[in-house]
Amino acid sequence: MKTLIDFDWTVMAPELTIAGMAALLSVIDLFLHPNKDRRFFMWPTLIAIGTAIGFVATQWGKPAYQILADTYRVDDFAFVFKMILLIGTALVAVISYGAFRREKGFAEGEYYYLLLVALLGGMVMTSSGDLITLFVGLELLSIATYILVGMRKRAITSNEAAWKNVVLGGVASAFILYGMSFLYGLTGSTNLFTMKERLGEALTSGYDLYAWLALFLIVFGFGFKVAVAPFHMWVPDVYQGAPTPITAFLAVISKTAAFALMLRVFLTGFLPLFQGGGGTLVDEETGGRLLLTMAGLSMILGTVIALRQQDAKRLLAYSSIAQAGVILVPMATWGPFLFPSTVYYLVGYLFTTLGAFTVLMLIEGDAGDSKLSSFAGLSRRAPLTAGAMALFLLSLAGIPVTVGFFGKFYILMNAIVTGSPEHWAMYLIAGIMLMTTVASYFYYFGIIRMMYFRPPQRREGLRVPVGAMMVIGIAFIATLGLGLMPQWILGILGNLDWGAALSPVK
Amino acid sequence: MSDFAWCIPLFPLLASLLLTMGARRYSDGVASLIASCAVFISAAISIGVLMETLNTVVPTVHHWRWLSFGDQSITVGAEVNQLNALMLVIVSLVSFLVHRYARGYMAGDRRMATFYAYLSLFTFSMLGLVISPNLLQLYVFWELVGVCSFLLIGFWFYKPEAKRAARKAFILTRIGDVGLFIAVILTFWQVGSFEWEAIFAAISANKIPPEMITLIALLIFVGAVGKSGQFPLHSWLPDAMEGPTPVSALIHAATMVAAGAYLVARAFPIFAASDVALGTVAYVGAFTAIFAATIGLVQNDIKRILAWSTVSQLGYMMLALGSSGYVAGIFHLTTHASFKALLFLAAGAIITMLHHEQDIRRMGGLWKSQRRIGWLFLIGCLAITGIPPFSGFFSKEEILTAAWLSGRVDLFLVGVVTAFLTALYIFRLFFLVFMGEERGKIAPSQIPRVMIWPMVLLTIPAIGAGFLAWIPAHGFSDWLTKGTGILAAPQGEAPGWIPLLTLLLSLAGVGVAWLRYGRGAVTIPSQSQSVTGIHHLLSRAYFVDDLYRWGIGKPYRWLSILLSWVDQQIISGIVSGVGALFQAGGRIGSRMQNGQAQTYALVSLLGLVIVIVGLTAGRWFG
Amino acid sequence: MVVTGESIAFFVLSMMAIGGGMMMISATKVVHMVLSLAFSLLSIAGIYVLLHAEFLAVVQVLIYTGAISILMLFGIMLTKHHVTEEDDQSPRRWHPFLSFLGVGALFAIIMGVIYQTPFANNEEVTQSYSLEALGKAVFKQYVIPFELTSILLLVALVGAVILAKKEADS
Repeated sequence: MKTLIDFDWTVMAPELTIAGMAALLSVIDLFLHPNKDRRFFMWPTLIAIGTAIGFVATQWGKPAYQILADTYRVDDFAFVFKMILLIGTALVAVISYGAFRREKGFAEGEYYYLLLVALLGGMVMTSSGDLITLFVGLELLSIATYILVGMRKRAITSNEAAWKNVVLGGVASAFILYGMSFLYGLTGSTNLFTMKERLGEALTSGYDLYAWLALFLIVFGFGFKVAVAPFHMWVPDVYQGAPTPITAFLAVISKTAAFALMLRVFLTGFLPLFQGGGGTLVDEETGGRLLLTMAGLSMILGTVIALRQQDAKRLLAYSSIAQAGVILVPMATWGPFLFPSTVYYLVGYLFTTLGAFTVLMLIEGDAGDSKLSSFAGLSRRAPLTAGAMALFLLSLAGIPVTVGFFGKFYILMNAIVTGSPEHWAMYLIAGIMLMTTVASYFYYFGIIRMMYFRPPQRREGLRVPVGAMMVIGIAFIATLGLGLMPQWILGILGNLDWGAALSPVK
Repeated sequence: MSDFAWCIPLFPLLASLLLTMGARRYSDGVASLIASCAVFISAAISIGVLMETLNTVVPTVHHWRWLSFGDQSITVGAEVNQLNALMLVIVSLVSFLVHRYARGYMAGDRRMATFYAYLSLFTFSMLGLVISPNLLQLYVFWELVGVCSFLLIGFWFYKPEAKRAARKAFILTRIGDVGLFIAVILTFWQVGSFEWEAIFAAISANKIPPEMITLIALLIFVGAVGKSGQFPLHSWLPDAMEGPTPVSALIHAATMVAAGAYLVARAFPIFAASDVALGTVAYVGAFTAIFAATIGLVQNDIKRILAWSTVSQLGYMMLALGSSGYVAGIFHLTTHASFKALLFLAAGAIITMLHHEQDIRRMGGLWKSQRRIGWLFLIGCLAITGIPPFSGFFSKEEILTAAWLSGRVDLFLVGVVTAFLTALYIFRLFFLVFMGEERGKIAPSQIPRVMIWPMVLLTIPAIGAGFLAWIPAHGFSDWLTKGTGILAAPQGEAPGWIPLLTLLLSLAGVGVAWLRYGRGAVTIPSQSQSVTGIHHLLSRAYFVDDLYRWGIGKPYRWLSILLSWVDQQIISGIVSGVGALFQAGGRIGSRMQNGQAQTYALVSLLGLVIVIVGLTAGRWFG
Repeated sequence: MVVTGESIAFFVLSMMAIGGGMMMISATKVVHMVLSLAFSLLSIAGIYVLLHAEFLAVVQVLIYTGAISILMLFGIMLTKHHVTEEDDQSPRRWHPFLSFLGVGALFAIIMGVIYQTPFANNEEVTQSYSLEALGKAVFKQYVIPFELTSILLLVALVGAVILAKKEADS
């Protein structure tokens, strides 16, 4: 066996950078005068993320590498997801700059390094082939976000949101651990690849129900973390109570990391259950049906309940549930473009959702609440912002030339080509997707109508800070650009070696 | 010139961007000028392109690879063929005239620049739709025109009806769009390409199973039904009249709503390969035609009458296409675009004159004071009625011939009756507005020149477009079908009595309308009881009138009222019922969201148990 | 199932663990809660002994039952607290019923699956789970998650401070 020093630890440079900067900031925070403004922490945060992006970029095109029996591994799968997480967090950090001026007792110093730690957790979740590391990463992300959600100490909704998040998140973690312990008991290993082999054997020797039970328990927890129905109930309350940049973080980064985790665990460790693992009571289609059920249910529930929302933040929360259902579809249908279509949608979702939440944050700061009526007449107060918001909403709704349209289209294609009269569920899910997409126009257009067809409540223009303006601009360009020229990113995604994520390093 | 066809849509887009960027900086005149110039350039190039297609044989297609999709690549580009070129000219010309006209109609509106930005954006989208060489690109523009239509219907957003109408239009057309979208995906799945050529090639090579062709064709038709306001997705179109009149003329009469008919024509080889699909198109079209015409008879809003008339005429086009009358359908699309735009613009002029009065019961007698508008409107009416030599006569006659030759007598009869009804409702409108005494209280004001000359120009095609049919040796239909492999019309010799019958019925319709509404003497003085020759004549006329009233008029009116009731209650009821279903679901969902973490955990747990049991139950017992 | 001394001990210990957990949830005084928790954790240490994981059992007693519980008690006694917590508004009427149904069904499913699974009944060699092996596993193979856990603890600490700290400026 190799000794620790034999491994090439430089591959961990991105994580080490983030962890190091988080530690550095926590120390600086201690030595600064308590009343000193800590807004400038954004800059070191951005520098750390930028450096990490640089380090991740150097891994481009390199073969997969693992350290210590896959407790850490870099492959193209990890590469893509880390990029999404890093860029997303950078944007969140930028919109946070100065966003909490009016909050009394807001621990702004802690805010930035907790953000980094949460990011670190997410990154760990994307690049490991071992259940223990994955779980620690998940908890790192979860605990950091529990605190971030509750940071607006004066706001009762924020406290309540943090509390619910902790309790329900704890329940979810418990289910995941329970399921994982079943798996370990069955296979005697926490390594996903070893697990895959032994699970294959276990399925044919009478342990199949036990394995399925582990899957169902884990699905409970994962469903919670990615916020799909019926494990979505915490989402609206928590999203509404959290500070808006953190809501964006939850909706984008947390969700993406959880999807990475889910893909990794289901496509390697649980693979025998999804492919050809026949058994006495449940057959191999059950795994797909389970995911299909959750996807369909999320789309329907998210859309239907969103129709009744009068609060833009809750509305976006429900919409994110519906979107999570859409993202689940490729995994559930198992089409030929599983990875590219999921990642493409996630990239689009990143920019679109971040952009929408940024605008929402500005509105909230301006009107003091996030009611739909606060959007009234935005087109006259801030035409460019309103235009950008309209584009984000169109993209979420899936109207052409936006990234959202192409993402949905790609996923639908993927679902339909895998369908056949025997796999009619694929058609069903495609139908649900179309139906809910149409229904979702009602509420997305509700906001657009507010912005364009209602007179404004106040005359003066909307104050848009430079940081927020930049984020909106980037999101706008990405939403439109990726929709107009998907080839660029699809080319990158198509050339990646997805198979490397699914097999042990040679 | 065809090599530059791809840049035709770009000029309006450029204008739209310019106007959006600096909406506040431009004065009304400058804004109007920028938009009009851009559309004018597009129109000029379009005409050049059309001229070229008279000589070239094959369609010219320009592709750029957009993205690769597995081993398939998707392209964007521009295609020019005869049908495209014709549509390009129609769209850009009507759009140009409407752009100019709007300068007068919208004068005084503070958001003139925004209006022109939307209008240009629409023109861009519509031209892009027409020029698309593949189904996916068409779908993208198809959505875009929908969004533009939404923005323009709701342009006067301070009117609640306008807001409602905008939303209704968007949602109802979206239902159709979903059908089209499924068709797009199914086509790609079956053919492996979005290109029209590849699709047609696959169909002629029998690569697609016939049931699948039928399904695809029907789904495409669902898209067309939504866009073209065919039954049962028609009810947004009359409501859309809440938008400014130039918008109604351009989008909801001449171009966008005709996109449905265009789509069916464009995808005609798919339809031609399935008798079921063709039959559906024909019957839906025929039913819509007669249904909308009856409703048009009892409306009192000048624009709504024209809107129902549009629905009805679009039904005619579908009837033609469904009866394999490819050329007839396109021909009617062409003539309809000109005379319906003319009618709408003239109606807009009347509305402007009467300070936004739209109720025809408060108009009347305008012929005396507004002879000029009267003539323009009359030309439009004669064209739609189908009185030779106006254009409607020729295209309608071809449609009826196609219906006759396709062997469906019932459809032919429906078409014939609709021709009579068309004459009736449109001349009812004309007589009530222009004849009789002035019932309005407001004195008409003058309308600006910039609104007049676009209408004058539109009279040229409204009168002359029909003579396309007289180009020797089937020139028009030969040109249109050249190289496409589509039959111009069903086989067979057209009976000579059809045009005569059409003409007679149309004249009858006009006559009845004259007797009922036109004589200006609906209230004949009754003091003179002496039997004189004149009076006798009048009595006899009254007799006709009574016959009309009790024999045809009353039952007819009841039928109309019944149909409008069905339209309003049942169809809208279903639509709003679906909405209510969603609302109820949302209410239950929100109820469960009671803010208690215990409930949330409980719901998740129960969800898990139900999912486990649900997915495995069949196995436990089976 | 053969009743042995081991299985009796297991049942007693697990009942104590579950009972302690339930008492903690239902107690109204904070001190009672801490004591129930300590009780529950102690019973789990007993189960570890049954599983031949003596080291783990000792650690469990030392850290959880000893250090953590004592620390909590100190914390409670040294800070001013409403020692009792008033009852929250009770959830809806059908809650207990549905909760029972859900938990019962889940329990039934899990038990059903466990009983259907043919576990091999051979004695595992427990010698390999020695202290040395544990140390090697933690500090060699699982060093990355181990280090990450330290960050996790730090974050939890910071978070607790932020959320609990009274504002200096108020």
